Amino acid sequence: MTIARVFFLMPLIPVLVLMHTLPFLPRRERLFGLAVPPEIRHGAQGAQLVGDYERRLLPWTIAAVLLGVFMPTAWLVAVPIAVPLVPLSGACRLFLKGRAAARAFALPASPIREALLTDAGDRIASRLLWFVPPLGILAAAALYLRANWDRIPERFAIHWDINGHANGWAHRSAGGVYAPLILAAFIILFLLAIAVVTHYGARRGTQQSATFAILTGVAYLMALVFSIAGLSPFWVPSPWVLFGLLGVFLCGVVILVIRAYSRPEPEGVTAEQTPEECWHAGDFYYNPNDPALFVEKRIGIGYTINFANHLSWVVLGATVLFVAGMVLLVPLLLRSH
Amino acid sequence: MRHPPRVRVDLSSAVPVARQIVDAIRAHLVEGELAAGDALPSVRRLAMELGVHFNTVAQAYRQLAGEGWLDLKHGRRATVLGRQFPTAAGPRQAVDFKRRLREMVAELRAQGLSSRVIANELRSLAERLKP
Repeated sequence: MTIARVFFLMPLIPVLVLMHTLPFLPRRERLFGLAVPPEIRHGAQGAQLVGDYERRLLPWTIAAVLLGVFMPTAWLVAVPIAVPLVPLSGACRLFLKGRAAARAFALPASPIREALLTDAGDRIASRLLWFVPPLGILAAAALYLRANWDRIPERFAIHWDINGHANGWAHRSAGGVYAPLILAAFIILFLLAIAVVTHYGARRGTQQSATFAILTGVAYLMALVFSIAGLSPFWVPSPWVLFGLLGVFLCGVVILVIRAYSRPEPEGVTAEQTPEECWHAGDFYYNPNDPALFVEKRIGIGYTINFANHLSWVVLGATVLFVAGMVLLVPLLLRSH
Repeated sequence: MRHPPRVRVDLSSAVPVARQIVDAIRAHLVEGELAAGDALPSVRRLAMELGVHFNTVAQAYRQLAGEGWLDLKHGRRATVLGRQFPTAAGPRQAVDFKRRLREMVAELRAQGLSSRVIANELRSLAERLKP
């Protein structure tokens, strides 16, 4: 198997791990995202439902691996997107099926709500300092490039094909040289903005801490990868360096997610309860009586937007603008010379 | 480290949620679990945690501020004030207190709580009230 194929297959690994651990990851007391009595969750019925899910997911996993390994080399670029879709679609279908079966044991939503009477931990300013080092890494790379400007070749490679041959070039201009660093800075600032809105717009709990940790982790990964890309006029790293970085990051995220979700909620914090009738077409939450902007997804991992909150449209609009901005910014920067 | 007190509301109760929040916070204030200078969660935060409308929490905070318990200066978190208890309540308050206590005991007895449990709880409350 070529290095390129290994590289393109890498995104499949976390997807498979996530899909197979999906029924175990959400909160301990839940089964397929539904609150059920502990004797069901950890008893024979729970084990049977989870076992069925795992058994039925196996053919999808094998199909994805075979597809990734034997896909013609010419189509290899499609592997990171197309292949993970196979287990993803199977897992979604099976998860919904498991959820439908678990509904028979679901506990009615409790009308009791609890909250801690403190503002400790509600201010995010000091935690945002975690985003300073990634921005510092980018700034250091930019300063290094500035200090060694004369050593940068007039034309240097910025893109390589699957065989490692350069097929994209940039010129020694402010846009051409600093483009990766500027892009990374925008991405990190966007991650920071997501950290802030999920902090203020979601309920306290393990989900909030896990989201913040993952966003911070992604910011560090972006800073490292784009700094390496920015230094490409001087040094083109071996693909194994990028594999290593990506591997360390993915392992870190998986460990973090498992640890975060296996911890019980802090005392005095009610596990999130969203009324079943407020979920539409699967995973769309609309509840005008809920002041939260973000609520836990029904699978128990990650957030989704409360579409009844007017601010949700601002968040969606900002995300679309950011993505569109990124798409427009890259050619603009590279053309700036 | 001191554990922060909690507020607990029952959304299915006939008692309005704002009243439940006021009662719960006042109990913590009277019992000293919330001391002068302590900051409460913002209206937005508490409403979100409890899954109730912002106005409900704002109304509860305003009532507590009106009773002299909270400082709600604009742009700042609700902060507990060092409030002095009135030295002598009028006879009307004493009569009202007796009536409400009797009604509450009757309601709990009707719900099946034993006299022993109620008496123990009242005794423990009385102990905590001793100067």
